[in-house]
Amino acid sequence: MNKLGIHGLVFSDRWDEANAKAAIDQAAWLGFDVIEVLMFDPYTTDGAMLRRLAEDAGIGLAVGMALGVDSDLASEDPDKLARGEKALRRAFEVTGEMGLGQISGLVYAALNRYAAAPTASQREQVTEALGRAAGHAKELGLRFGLEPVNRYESYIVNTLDEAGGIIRAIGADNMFIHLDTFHMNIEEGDYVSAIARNADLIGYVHLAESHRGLLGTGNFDFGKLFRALARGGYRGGFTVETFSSSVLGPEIVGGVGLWRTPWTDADEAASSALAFMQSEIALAYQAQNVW
Amino acid sequence: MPQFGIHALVFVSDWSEASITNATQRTAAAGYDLIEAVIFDPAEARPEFTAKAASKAGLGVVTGMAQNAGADLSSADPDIARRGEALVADAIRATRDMGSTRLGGVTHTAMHRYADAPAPGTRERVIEAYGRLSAIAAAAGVRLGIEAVNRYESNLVNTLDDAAAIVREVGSDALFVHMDTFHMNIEEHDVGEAIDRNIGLVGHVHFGESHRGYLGSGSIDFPAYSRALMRNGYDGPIVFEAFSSAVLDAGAANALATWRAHWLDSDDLARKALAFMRSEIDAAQHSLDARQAFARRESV
Repeated sequence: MNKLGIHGLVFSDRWDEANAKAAIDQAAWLGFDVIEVLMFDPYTTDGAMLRRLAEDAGIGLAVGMALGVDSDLASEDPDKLARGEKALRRAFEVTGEMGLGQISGLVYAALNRYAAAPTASQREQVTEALGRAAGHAKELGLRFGLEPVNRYESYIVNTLDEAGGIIRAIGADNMFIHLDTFHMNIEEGDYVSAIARNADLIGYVHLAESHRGLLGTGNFDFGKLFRALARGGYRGGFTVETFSSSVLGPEIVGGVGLWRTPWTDADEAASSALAFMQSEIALAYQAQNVW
Repeated sequence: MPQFGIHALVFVSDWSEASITNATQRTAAAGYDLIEAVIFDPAEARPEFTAKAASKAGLGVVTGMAQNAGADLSSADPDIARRGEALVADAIRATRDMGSTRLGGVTHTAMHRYADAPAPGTRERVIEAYGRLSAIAAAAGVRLGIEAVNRYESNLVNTLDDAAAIVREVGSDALFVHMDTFHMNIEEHDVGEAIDRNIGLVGHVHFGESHRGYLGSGSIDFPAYSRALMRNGYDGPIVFEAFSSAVLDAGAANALATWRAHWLDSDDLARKALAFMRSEIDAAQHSLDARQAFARRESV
């Protein structure tokens, strides 16, 4: 069975030990298999502490990250590129300390509304840096994933095919695509075909509604997605991501352009998402049966 | 029935005389009723030339605009706010001089990625400005639109309900809600219900695909939108909008976060979008026939 997870930002954007414990315990109590930690800063994230809290609560962990404009693999400033590569290396170490085998996210450029398109040499630089990063990840026994995000949050990797193209060009066997439905709803043509073309590389899935509110209340056709993934033999994790300004502080609110409050009760948002996932995912896999 | 139009940026990236001629001729050749002219800078909008070119091509005109960081009527900085209001007022006059009666677009805030939620007082300032602008619009015989755009392009008006609430608070017939499927696909809950709730105020419609490429090639459920429009008897303009770096210059492409050539052939795109819109709207109209009793077939 695919592991069902919940994004840590559903509960809190502060991950000191007390808040981390509250979020991890809550996710476990609600019945999730996994809680995903967003590694804001690899230099201050205490992987061992998170691992201990999760073990105590009897829940698995997942980890995601996003580079910022000062540590951007696509930057033409060599210092920023170097900081980006160093941040990834440190993030890999922390991933190991958390006891995990993979890390993914917006790792190819910054979470940023870019003002101009990348040049050919920036694209080349990103592919080279990702190749080096995949090598470091491999030394630590880790898999390393690229998450395509929409045009307003980054560039270079907006679609599954762009992520797949880079991974195939690098030729690393420890790289994967991290699919996110919120972004896919904006950027893909026929996302069923996009999944079919890249099924061999999909290693992690974020389930987010078209407006990032409650799962199942927007425009995204999750039934179609689950069937496409089931057909492609996907056995990885599904993690629900939903954001509300009732939980998040101004920095993240501004970072993802979250101007409204789709829900105020995190437990209710989480448990309705879990019920939705359990029902829809099982049915999609069931639908692959041949009579 | 709605009138079908196309956004000028499908064909051109500026509003020079050559571009006006080019865009109007190709719009007419593709079979459209309307062209949406973009007013980048009202002083350079060439309204008389636009009106003449459109009339020569047999087209009606609607206009669109967007505020920017330096001219934004929602700004707490009085100079920026004043410039924003003046920009919209000048665009209203250019719209009138083009022979158009509808000006839509991002008239509420700057079309850019805000770093923060609106500060207290922002919405009140916007409503006051729309009060003054609606009087200018009414005097010019123009209606002014409030386009609901996605979270990355405004922090204030993201849904039809957001736009409609402003129209109701200002209380002027000169204002309307401008709906756009590309933005609704990101921001709305149930799109049919959002249209049902606000249709009385909807004065302009953009049909854009989820990725802003070929209509019908993305994630958007166009029957849901078309049926909602038709069951409510919408008979205003429906304008196809798409953006590609194959046409846009760097400035326009960057402003729209267009990082790829989503399509290459404007004329092919335009023809296919018109056929698609006609087919969708026609099918939506036919779907209403199901409300009437079909003649029952009986065995004899």
